Amino acid sequence: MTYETVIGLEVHVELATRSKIFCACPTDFGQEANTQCCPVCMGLPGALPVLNRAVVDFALRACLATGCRVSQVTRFDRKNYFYPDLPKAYQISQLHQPIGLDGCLDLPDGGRRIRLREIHIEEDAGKLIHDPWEDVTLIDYNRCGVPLLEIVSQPDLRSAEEALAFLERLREILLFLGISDCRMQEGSLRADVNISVRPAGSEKLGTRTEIKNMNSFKAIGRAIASESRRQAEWLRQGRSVSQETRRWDENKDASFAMRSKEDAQDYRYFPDPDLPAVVIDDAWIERIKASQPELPAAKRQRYQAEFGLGDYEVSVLTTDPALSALFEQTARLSGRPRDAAAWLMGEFLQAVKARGSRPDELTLDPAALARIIGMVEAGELNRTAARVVFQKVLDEGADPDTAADEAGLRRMDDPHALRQVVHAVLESCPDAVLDYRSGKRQAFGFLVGQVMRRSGQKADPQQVRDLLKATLETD
Amino acid sequence: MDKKPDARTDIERVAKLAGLALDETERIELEQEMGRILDAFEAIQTVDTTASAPVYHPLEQVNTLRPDETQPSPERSDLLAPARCQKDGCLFVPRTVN
Repeated sequence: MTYETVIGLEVHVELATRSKIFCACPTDFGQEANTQCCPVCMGLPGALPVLNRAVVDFALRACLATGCRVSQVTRFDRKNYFYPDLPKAYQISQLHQPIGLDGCLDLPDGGRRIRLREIHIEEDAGKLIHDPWEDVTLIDYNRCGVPLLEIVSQPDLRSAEEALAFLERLREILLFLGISDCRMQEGSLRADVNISVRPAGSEKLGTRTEIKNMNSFKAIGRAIASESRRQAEWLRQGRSVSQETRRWDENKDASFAMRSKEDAQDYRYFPDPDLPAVVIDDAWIERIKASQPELPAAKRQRYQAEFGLGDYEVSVLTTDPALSALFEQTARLSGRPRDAAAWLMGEFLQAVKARGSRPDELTLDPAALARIIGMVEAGELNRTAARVVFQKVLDEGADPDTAADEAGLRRMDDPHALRQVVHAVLESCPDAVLDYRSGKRQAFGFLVGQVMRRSGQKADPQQVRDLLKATLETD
Repeated sequence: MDKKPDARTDIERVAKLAGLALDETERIELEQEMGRILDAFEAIQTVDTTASAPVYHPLEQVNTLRPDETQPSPERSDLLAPARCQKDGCLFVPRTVN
């Protein structure tokens, strides 16, 4: 029998506010343990939470970008559970009146529309560090109280590929909204994956398992593939799938049962008496709408219409807000959007990759890149020399004209000097000349290379080819 | 006070949810306390509320919000001072996972 996989995602996104959700402690990642905590986020008796307005603004941005219906009265509930990462013994979350309901997100390339059940606001928990030497668990509460959105999809996804495409799309939207840095390696974006299988063609949902706290796309893809295979295999063997929470073991490439439905937590949700309701009036929604940034889908369309870019170029340039901003500024300043796209997708992204960093971590002045593009266009720099100038601009923040002059990279535009270089190369490479004249055309490329080398890469390659050809065929 | 027929089950369940290990004396004591609390709720439930709108929150106040501004956190040593188990600037508890 063929089985169909059914997947629903619960995505946790840390919001990029400066301060925590209910107190003024900073949210900076990677600080010394327990240095960004106070009585509120450590749950000390008597401390009272006060909601950060920016959290509501950011949540509204996410709701509007995903077509959610905004709850104009939204409230907070306590989700009670005992675990040392949660010093209050409850998490402030939203169960009964989440901020957003019934949204959707379209998969790329005209793919299906995936329904979102809800978006709710909650606080993150602390971080547990398991000390293998002393058999204890250390607790760092810096992350406790960092604001989170939980974005919950309906079980509309049908494969690991679709789940990853959904997450990529969602990540892009959140990045362009500027509400999260979505750094999975730092835990800013994590997903719980609900998976079930059912006979192909069936409408009835199978028993699901949940794999919690996945923080890499690669792991999510592998976990879905592995878990759906496991469930289908069990059903083929006549066994039934148990509703349970499972843990993904990256090293073993397999998931393992953590707790069954019988052990499921009873969270005893109840309204948080410390936090009054939030009433979101039309004016508030309109204010957010009016300042909503352009989203990636709209950008892709505009880049094609306005700049004449192809599908591949627009898809790359809209993966990251810093890259996209750099492209738009360079395109405008240079007046050559295709060249701007080529430089950024080539040299710039290669440098980003080589340094293992992100586009926003490299400083590139769009005016400097526009100047390089202009110098190439005007014939002042050949492509090789332009790359050298680009590196100097990127590495040292150099001015392109100064860099070109100091390194003597401006194009050799004196025809007499170039002719002298060509003659010198022909004299020093008689064998290659003979080879060329006896029909070995590959010798021509060698001779072009020699002239370029002797010119210090300053000659125009096309001019070199023309001059070499003319000289070889007439001398 | 009449003991509810399922009081023992209730108290054991609540103790489990609260992560409390109770000895028999504590269990009996808490069972009686809980019985009194439940009786009080039963008394409240006799009030006719059909004409009253449900109340989600005791305060009518809404939108108590603060701007997204940071303030320096208190000194770590002061915050952790009441905790008995500390190591490397962290609190610690018995190992939570195998």
